[in-house]
Amino acid sequence: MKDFAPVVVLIVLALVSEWKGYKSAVAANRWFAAALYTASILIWVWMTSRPDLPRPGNWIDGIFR
Amino acid sequence: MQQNVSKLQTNMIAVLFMVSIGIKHPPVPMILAARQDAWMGYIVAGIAVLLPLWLMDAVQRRFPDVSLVEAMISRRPWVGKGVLLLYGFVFFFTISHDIRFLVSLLSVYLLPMTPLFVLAGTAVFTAVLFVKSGIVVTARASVILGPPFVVMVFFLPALLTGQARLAFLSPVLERPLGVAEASLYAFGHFAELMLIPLLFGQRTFRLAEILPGIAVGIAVTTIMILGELVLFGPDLTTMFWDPPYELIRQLRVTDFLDRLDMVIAAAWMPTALLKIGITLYFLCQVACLIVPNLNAKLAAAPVGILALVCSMWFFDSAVQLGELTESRPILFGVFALFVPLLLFVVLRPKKTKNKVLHRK
Repeated sequence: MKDFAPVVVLIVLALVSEWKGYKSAVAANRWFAAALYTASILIWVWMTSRPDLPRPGNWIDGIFR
Repeated sequence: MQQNVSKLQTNMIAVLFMVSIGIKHPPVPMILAARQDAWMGYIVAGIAVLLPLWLMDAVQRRFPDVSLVEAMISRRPWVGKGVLLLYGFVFFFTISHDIRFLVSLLSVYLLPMTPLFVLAGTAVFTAVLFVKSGIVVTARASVILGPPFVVMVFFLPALLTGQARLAFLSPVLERPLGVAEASLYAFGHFAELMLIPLLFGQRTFRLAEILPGIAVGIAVTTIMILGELVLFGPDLTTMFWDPPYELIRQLRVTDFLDRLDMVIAAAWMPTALLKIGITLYFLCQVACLIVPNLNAKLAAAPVGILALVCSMWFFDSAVQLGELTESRPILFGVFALFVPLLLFVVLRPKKTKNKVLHRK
């Protein structure tokens, strides 16, 4: 929990500030936000749990160098 | 997409895209490739980037009333969405790179005790505010926040005259192939200018009208690298992680202004934030065109937070950000040269009946 607290706090802040907008907007906006926030949390949890994780920066370095 | 952006604002956005990160990473690989001739690389790259921009301009002239993105989607929906998605991925990578670089720079030089996530959160919050204000307000902000840094750079040669050693610049054109390699590295950054024709319609973006902005961008980047060369020499400059910051740290204007570097760093910071904000605006527009019924302003926070998380995931360390300059020319070269060429061929004007009859 401690590991992914920063990203959760940031998402909660974003949700609170955008709440009115999401309530009045069409469903596509809520689905889009939910998908991206979930992806952010999943990436963060995966990132903090694996110190040797593969990084796209390294892939690009490897492919193009 | 909004069109009420003046020529001055478009020029300033072009300068920001060339200068904000373009002065930071390319100097080290450029100097390693061309040594004392590295400064020529920026000039050659600035001229080379005119070719893809001219291609985009030529395609856009066929659709005077809409932006290139809208033309792509209306004429060839699947090709248009595919190309847009590819540009989206490239600029998502760019925004992640820029967030990570800004945060690393702040952490290394100015705020070492503050967690990276807090710094990145502040940068993304500012970018989201730019997107929510719209491109018109962001473009106006660029005219206010961009010029102070540009003006300071133009005064740099006068402030450095006492410490400069022009001998570091000779012999001239010792390595012509090295200059070609250096210009490739600079091109990798200048190619980000491709965002401008994608953002603005023909009324705002005409290549001839943003030439002054490109010229100022070349001048600023060239002055910075020349300053680094004449002050530190080619050998010492390549040892630094951020040569421009080391350069401005050498400035001493009386005892009262011995920390002039802080003023210049404070003038540079908004240029990087604006670049992140404009890139985020573009990504939100791309999301809106691909996902039906999506509101760009509501998409800003989710896209921004995902970019923040990916900025921590994509890059191993702050050092890797600089090393990536060597692979950027190929990544951006594809998008800056082949995609405009593809659009030039695919988006041909339709033959009207009148024209066909006239020919008969």
